[in-house]
Amino acid sequence: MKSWWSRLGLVLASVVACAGCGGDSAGVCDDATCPAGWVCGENGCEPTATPTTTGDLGRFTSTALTSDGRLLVATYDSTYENLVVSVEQADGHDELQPVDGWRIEDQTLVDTDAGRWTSLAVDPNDTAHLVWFDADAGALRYARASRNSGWKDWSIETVDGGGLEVRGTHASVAAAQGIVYVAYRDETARQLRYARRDADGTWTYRTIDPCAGEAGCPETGAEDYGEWAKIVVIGQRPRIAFYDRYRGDLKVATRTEVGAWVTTTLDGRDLVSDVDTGDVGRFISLALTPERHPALAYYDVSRGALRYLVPGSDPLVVDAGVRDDATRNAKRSDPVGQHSALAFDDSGRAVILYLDGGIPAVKQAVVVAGKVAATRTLDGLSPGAFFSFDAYGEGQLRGAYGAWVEGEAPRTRLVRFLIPVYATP
Amino acid sequence: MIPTSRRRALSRAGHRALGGLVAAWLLAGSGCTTIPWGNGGLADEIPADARDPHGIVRVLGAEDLNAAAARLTNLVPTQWENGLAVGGMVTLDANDTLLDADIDGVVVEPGPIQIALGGAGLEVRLGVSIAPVHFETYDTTTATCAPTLSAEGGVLVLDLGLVTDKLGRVQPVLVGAPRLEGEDLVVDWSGCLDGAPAPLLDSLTDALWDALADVTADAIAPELLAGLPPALGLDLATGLSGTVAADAIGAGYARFSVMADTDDAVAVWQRVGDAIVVPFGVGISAEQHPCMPALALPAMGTSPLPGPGSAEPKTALISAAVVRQAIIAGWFAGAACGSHATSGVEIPAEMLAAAWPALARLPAETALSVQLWPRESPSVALAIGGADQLTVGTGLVDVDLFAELDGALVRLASMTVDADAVLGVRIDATGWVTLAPEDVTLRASGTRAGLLSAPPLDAAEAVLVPIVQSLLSGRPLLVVPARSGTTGTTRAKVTAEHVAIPM
Repeated sequence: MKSWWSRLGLVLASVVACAGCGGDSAGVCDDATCPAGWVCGENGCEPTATPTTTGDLGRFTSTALTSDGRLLVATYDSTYENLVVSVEQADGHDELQPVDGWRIEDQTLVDTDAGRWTSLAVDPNDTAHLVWFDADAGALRYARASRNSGWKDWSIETVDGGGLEVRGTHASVAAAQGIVYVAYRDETARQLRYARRDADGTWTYRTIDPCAGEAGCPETGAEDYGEWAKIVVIGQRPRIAFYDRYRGDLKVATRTEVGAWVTTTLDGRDLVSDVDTGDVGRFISLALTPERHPALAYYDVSRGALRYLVPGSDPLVVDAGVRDDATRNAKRSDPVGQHSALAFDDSGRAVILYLDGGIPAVKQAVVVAGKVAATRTLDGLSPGAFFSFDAYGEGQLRGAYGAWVEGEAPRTRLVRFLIPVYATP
Repeated sequence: MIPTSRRRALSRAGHRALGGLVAAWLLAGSGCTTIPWGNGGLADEIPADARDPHGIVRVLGAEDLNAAAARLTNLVPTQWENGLAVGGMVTLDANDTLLDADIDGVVVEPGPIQIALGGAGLEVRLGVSIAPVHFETYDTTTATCAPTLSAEGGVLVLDLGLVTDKLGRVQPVLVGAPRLEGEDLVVDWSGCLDGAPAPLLDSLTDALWDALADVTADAIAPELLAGLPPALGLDLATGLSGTVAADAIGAGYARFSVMADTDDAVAVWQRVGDAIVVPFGVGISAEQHPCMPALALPAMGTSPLPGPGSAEPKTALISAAVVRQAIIAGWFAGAACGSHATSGVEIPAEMLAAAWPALARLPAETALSVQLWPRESPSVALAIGGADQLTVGTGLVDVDLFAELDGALVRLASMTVDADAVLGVRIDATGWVTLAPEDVTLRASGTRAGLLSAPPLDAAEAVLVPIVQSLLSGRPLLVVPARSGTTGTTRAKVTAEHVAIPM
């Protein structure tokens, strides 16, 4: 049970004894007379106290930087099953705010599980846009908050799903020119979905086609795609990279100028021979190059390797996970590249943070001009997952992730970092 | 007249009924190329010291022959549904009297087949019958008369030897003249050769049946001789070459060949008591996967042929050297590295949490998987410490224990162990030969932390024993032809010299 239940209990208990609230003629406050979401307090009806306590943070972390370089973090509280947002204050300290993970029914606070699959974006007006999955409702949720409120005025909307249709995992958000674009997965139909919120607040939705010209696609009852969806917007045209689990392929869906969607295979299949070249495309990270071309980092399941791709060029194996095993005088390999996160620094270098599952450790790779310039184990960071970061200043990265607590794994803690780009081996 | 040869050899690729241990590695690996015999190059690449001339020995007894005869008999309705129409002009030579006979229209109805051990090797007896039919005899170019022939309950007897071709395939060949036998082989010469003495007619009759035996044997031999090696389980010659393990580190390959001795001076078969044994040389070599330390593949040597006490019919005996070499070669080629051998083997963490409490912290239903990194060659012993048991010692192996956390595969800890697994060898009705662990002894000599702290040595041992058992249990070793009429699983006999695979 959540610790804030006890405080809620106190509030509710006080209702019994309180007097002079709610406009009761006898002077005794009655919750039923309070507005929805309010209960009787010392001074009459007061807003129901919402959770403030946080537990193990770090899972499903997504970060964004404001125009003045402040770090916003959305993460999942796996102890209390809440969505928590961390806002860096002007003085540098971080303030945590649970945003979702409960609902108020009448005067009662009901515990829910919300906050997995977060995705956070900050638009040029410093408005933060946040999407996440509400596991209880089986729905995709969206909220926005403004700089003026210190990114505290989260107004929450349910976007899609709920009921029999579980939708909203693998969510990714982008915002441009007042329009919000979201890619996410329909777990019930095992499909990729796309939602768009226009400036007037109207949502429109559609299912994205998985087929990229494969023979016999779609295969009724077999299709399973849309995991690790990531969205970017180039010239008001969204592009969504996603994993086609049925075929083990990395794909991208692009909205054309005429509004249609076209899906193409980026990796996992030889487009000339139609030969399966491996199971690739989990843990996708999608970013724009300085020239505003999409670039992707992702995991190669078949080879346990980190790959990088700029569509139009061949996939690059950034880290194959192979190393010399001096003890055995032979080679060994480890799964590397899971939870990859990609961004471009101020010098235009592609920087990837990822998990080396063998050591285990956090690693950083730098790709320059289509070649791997460096890979390095970041000894200062504990191993973990859900990396998210942006380039910051000259040759630095700011972000956060969920680090597994040493000696207590798989518990996690939220780690914020400011690290240099290591461009040489 | 159809040309008649007294010695015929026919070539046909067999169905390679008995795959080898290396074949099992190859089948499990990412790529496998079966080289149909024809170029012969593959076998040349296997060094002589990596070849056991008696690697697989097929033991044939009366039951094998009966079973083969039944299989061949089953061919009769499909191959010769409407009988065997023979024809042409044959010349009958009876004591310097030559007579041409046109036997067009003679239809031989094949019947059941029997096979027995014969002086040359095998004696095949094919039941035949011929409905009464006229045939024409000629004196030079003039038809002289039309006698009648018929056969009821006749037997076409073929004496067969076994030879090998240059690719090591065992081939049956006709030895001596085929002959038709039976009480009711009748030729009615009425109205023909008036005045000819009875001995001449008898000689002409014999010559006619000899000619018909030749013609029938010629017509029937292609299918019959081609069907004999698979029916007897002698179509073992094969060559496999392929990838055992290919991954991000590199690739390891193995080659495997089975060939009967092609030296003309060496008999293809030998009689041992009431059985005959047909040895096949088995060659195994490997190209090392870079995941393995530099180790040398041992020489194979020559295994002894089974004696009267061990030549058990209805079996194929795989020599201890082949079993040992196959396992070591697979090891060398990377079959034991990483997750190649362990793919699909997952153990619930909570099952092992009692031995290693740190595992209890993992989310419910977390599955553990392992990756192996051998430091040494394995050791293999047959029937040590108990009959029908195969003992495999892994040598030192580094074991990485992985779990999926937050969707990612993460190493929890590592252990260095060596294990001895005592295994039974079992075969099911579909022909799969699998391992059945009976005892696993495991010694941990070191542990290292991963995401979790390093477990104590005794905890490592307790955790890994069930994992090793899971790894080995039911692991396929090779495939033999399905055994019709059997159900369930039976145990294969293992002696110090060989593993006996029921055929």
